[in-house]
Amino acid sequence: MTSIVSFRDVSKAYPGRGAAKGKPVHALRDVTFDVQKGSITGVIGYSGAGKSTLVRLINALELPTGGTLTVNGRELTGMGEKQLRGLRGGIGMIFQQFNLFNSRSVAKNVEYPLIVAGWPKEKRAARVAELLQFVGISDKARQFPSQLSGGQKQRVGIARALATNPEILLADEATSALDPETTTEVLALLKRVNEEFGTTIVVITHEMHVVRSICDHVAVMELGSLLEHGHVYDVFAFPKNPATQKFISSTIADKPSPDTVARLQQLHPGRLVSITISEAPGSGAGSNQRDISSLLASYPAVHDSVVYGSVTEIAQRPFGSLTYVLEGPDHDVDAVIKGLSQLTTVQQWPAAAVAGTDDEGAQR
Amino acid sequence: MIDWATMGPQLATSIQQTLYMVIITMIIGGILGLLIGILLYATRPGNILQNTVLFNVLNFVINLVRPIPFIIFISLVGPWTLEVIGTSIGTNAAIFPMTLMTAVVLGRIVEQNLVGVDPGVVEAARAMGSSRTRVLFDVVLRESIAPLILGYTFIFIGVVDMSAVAGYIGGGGLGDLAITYGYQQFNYAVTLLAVAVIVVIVQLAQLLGNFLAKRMLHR
Ligand SMILES: Nc1ncnc2c1ncn2[C@@H]1O[C@H](COP(=O)(O)OP(=O)(O)OP(=O)(O)O)[C@@H](O)[C@H]1O
Ligand SMILES: [Mg+2]
Repeated sequence: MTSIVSFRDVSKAYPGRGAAKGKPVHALRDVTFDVQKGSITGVIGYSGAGKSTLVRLINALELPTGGTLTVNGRELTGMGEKQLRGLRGGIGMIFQQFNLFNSRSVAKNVEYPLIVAGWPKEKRAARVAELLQFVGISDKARQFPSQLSGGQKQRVGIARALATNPEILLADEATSALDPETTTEVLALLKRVNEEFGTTIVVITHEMHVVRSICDHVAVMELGSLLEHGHVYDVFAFPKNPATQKFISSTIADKPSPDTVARLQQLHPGRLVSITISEAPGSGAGSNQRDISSLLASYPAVHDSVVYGSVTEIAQRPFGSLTYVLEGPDHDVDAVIKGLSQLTTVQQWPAAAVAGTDDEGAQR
Repeated sequence: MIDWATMGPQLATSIQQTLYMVIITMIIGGILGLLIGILLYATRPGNILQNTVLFNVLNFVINLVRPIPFIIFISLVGPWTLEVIGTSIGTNAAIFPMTLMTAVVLGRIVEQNLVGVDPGVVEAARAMGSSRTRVLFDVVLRESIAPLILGYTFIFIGVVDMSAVAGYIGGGGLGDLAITYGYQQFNYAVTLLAVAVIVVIVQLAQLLGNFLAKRMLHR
């Protein structure tokens, strides 16, 4: 795979506004990473992490204040306004609030980028019809945006963004204003765009399931820095950065919260441990659950029961976390935990007596 | 009561004069107001023609002129009227200050409507590679057509009001009719008649404005 966008120590500082005048806001700090051609790359992180800034740099809506940014083999720094406009014309963008032109019909919305790109009139009509057909709203061509549902509006947004056959499609929270069912449909459409046209897609999202269902790569951001990036499965199943681990467990919610831990400990005598279910690192085949079950079975004196958790898939590979209560002689329970630690990541929750304090448990 | 034999033609002339003043003012003042509004919008910090000095000057002039009562404004620009129109009394002399005031007030209304366009839509157009000038005409102005029509309709009422005041400098029209026959000759019926005609004109304009705005809104 080759890279289509490459960030090298890219920084972006905005001049401070209002009370903070004179104090720049560092929206991005020394970001280095590549977007692979043909990939669907997710950008995740808490609000204010710099996700929108990162994406707006790719189509030069903002310019970097440091580092070098190369898009489609061309370096952005030093480009004139006219060249930048040309570059933008070759990159599609869709938005959370759709941003359709309310004064134009659906067909005219989709036609607009073609006019900007200087397509002759005869070719435009055919292209618009083709695009509306592709996104499945041919019957709405003469309607106006205010007459459409959110999902239909985003389909128009996608058709409009794809009009000039862009190599890159940027999506800033494109499904955040949609209900779950419509979100699924729009995500399926984006996936189809990627597969049929080979369009590289960069999606900003705070919804983990967006990343899970369509992304193959992911970048995690915090406070302007890129914490981690790589294949979705590697980043999610084996996060290296503690902040990434926290972000992932808070958004996937498959590990019990401190409150839940306290409640579980009251309900169940025994030792509480959370283990990660994944493909065994490096093995590349099947989940580690089989080994875990065998291990537990080999200690008949220890009674185990699952009290919390979930196992799903990310990028068609097993992923999740299960919380067990282990009951039995201390010596045996210790041995089980030691065995588990060799198979996967184990988080031991402190005993009931100390539960409720801020101690979040030891990570092995 | 109303003596229709003399009042009939008189009323017809007054209506004609009022419509003449209002329509000419709406056309010239309307175009000037649109230009001032666009200029204000474009010279704003961060916009295409960003020019702090021009922006502040325009802003200052508008804020200064807008609150001047129209009857005082007429006499304030009197010398200038004389120079431009050649006379400071009569219908054409009335149109001059009316046009100036309309342009200034409209300038502000136009600017506010342009500023009110969803920045997301502007960003979408920019992301397509549209130039800033193009964004202004294709997107900002176009997206504000409906509110602009309503703004112009609103101004229309103000212009009718100004045309009545202009009667004082010999502009004629319905205001003049109500003052000379109704007020000064104690013929209350004529005043009522002038009011009725003005109400009809204003209502028709309002209906037309609402109708056009609604068509442009596509709702
Ligand atoms: N035009 C701007 N001027 C000044 N500061 C800005 C500007 N745009 C963004 N910022 C600041 O830069 C930082 C990153 O903003 P950005 O919009 O990239 O975050 P985000 O990750 O997209 O957040 P969200 O999830 O809320 O959309 C924030 O602190 C924000 O206040
Ligand atoms: Mg954002």
